[in-house]
Amino acid sequence: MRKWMVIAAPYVWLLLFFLIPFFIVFKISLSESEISIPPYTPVFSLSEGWESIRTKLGELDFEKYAFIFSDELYTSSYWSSLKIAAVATFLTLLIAYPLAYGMARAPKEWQPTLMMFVILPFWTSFLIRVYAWIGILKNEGLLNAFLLHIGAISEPLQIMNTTTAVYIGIVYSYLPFMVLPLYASLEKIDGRLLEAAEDLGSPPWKAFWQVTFPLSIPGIVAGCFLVFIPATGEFVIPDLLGGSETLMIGKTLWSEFFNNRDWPVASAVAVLLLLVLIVPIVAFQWAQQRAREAGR
Amino acid sequence: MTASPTINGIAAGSSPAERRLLRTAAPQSGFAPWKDPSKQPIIRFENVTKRFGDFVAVDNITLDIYEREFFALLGPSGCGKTTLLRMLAGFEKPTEGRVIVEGKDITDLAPYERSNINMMFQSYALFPHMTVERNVGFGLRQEGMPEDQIKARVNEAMSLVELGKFAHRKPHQLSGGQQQRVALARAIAKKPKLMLLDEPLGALDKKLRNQAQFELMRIQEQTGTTFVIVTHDQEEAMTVASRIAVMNQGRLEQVSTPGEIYESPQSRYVAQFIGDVNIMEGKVVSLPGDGTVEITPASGDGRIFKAGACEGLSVGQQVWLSVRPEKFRISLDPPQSNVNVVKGRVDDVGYLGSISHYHVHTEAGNRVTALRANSSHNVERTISWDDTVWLEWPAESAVVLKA
Repeated sequence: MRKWMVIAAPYVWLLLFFLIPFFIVFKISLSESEISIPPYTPVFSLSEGWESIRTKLGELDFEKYAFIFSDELYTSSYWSSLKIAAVATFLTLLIAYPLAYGMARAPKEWQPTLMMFVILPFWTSFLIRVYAWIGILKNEGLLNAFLLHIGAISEPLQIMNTTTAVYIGIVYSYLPFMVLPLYASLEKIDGRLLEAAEDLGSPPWKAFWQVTFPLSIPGIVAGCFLVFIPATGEFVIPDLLGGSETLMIGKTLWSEFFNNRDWPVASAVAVLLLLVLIVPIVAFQWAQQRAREAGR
Repeated sequence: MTASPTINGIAAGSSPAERRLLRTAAPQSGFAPWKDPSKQPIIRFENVTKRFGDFVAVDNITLDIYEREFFALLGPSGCGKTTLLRMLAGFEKPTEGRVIVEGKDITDLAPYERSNINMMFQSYALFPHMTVERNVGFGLRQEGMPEDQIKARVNEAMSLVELGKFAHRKPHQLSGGQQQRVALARAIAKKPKLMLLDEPLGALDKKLRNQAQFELMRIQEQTGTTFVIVTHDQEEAMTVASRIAVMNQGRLEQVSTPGEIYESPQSRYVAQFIGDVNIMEGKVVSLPGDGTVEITPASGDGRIFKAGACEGLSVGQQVWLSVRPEKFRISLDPPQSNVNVVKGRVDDVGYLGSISHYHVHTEAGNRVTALRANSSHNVERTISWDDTVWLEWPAESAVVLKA
């Protein structure tokens, strides 16, 4: 009995907080929009009896999905989200790798402190940190003021409300998610392996590519997924930093819900986003499993 | 190399195959380049000192190692033996002094520039993401050797360690003994002039280790490579080495063949580190001039110990007499002679089948250990607890130690 409760707990959790909400959203995506509260029909009501629920089920259709695929706004939103997330993930990797490498090579007694510095930003709200970037990036912001002051530029750079700002925001916000798995896999590498490579005639820079890098691939894979998956559906960063110029599916979804108040279309966008993300999520699970098996 | 099979008991318990190996591995008698002044050493440490902060790991060591030697650096952990080895590999730079290999000063060369030196690492350091084949061929690939030659050399190295059929496995799919062979093959594949082994057999169990020791000797003999091995296991050093350097706190205590180290240690430290030994303190009473010395024990009961003199003794000097347990003759009756005899009471008896150990509390208050073979012809009464016994030893089997 106790055993069953332990096993059931996570499934009950999944059912309550993932599957049921998902089916609610899915059901809305099959409905029609209407100016009412809630803004869609049909709305089920048990008081009207089984017969009416059956007729109402018959009113559901996949029309909204067809609409999403016919309207270029949505497909290009998905596409641009994936692209922005991929580029941002790559940039994050480029910055995180040297950081993680430095941490793993630092004296043992320094490592917990360095680790704390990486986690430190989590102590402040994500939203506030993204707002702070507005202060840095805007035309009369800190960065432009500094560049003007040292004479590197003669007029302010337009960074705010561009895709560049979104990249900066994503790289900044998701850096710890890349650094931590990278550090974990780099820190595990036995220093004697590098000595062995050197002893066998491989200079340090070559030994890095022959030994350190291949052994850190599980960390790279884990870090990339941890950044790519949430970055694809990111809303706050493109909304605050990207302005109208950046097209990301999270933003499209939001405006569909709150500006257009077209809940059925918005729900269909959400369901499709989930489907798009299931591919990398499954790939991630598979990679993790493989890394675990190789590590045995 | 002078293996001492009777000391470490391998000859008695070894298989015919091992005994054959022992014979083939036994060097041409008279292999003693260190005694030949015309020979140039392959390795020369010149006044080498290594400090880590305040800690002196290696303290002004000068040491010559000759070609085709199987040289063992022996000592407890922290004695500086690994640091000395790592200076040969290039992982540590001496604070002072020079390291010369084949007449070339290599003190400042990086490890990857020392192409004639390869190392087998403690716990092997095999590349986990590469197959056995890639591991063994790693060093050759760095040289840019053509692939077909690499393949041939890898096969050669793998058959040398008898590991042919595992070429496509990853290291984690191998047993400890197999991993040890891969590590050896990887280091030997480059055909180095000098092979360094850092506790190469430390991770193996005892039985496998004995086997691996003979294999190391076979490979050393077959390839003609000079081996330098670091070990804290005195049996291992005695088995494999042509010469042993016993180290203590960064200094060399003694550098000799295993036989010399065992039979004529130069200090109490060496005597105690290699095998069991009984040490008795005394004072020199006379030097008759016939190459012997007479010593009276510190307890001063008028008895006299006689032993072969060593250089630089003077009357009245404090010395220590070292006698190996198996050199004692233990008896229940007082011997006729009064020289080299101690009387005592049996504290403890350890029966080990072929031999027995006796812990004897001497009249002078020392605790000494004697060994006696339990041969079938032994008709003497068995010696038991609390028996009064006399221990006698021949003058030539006691060693006088000045330190």
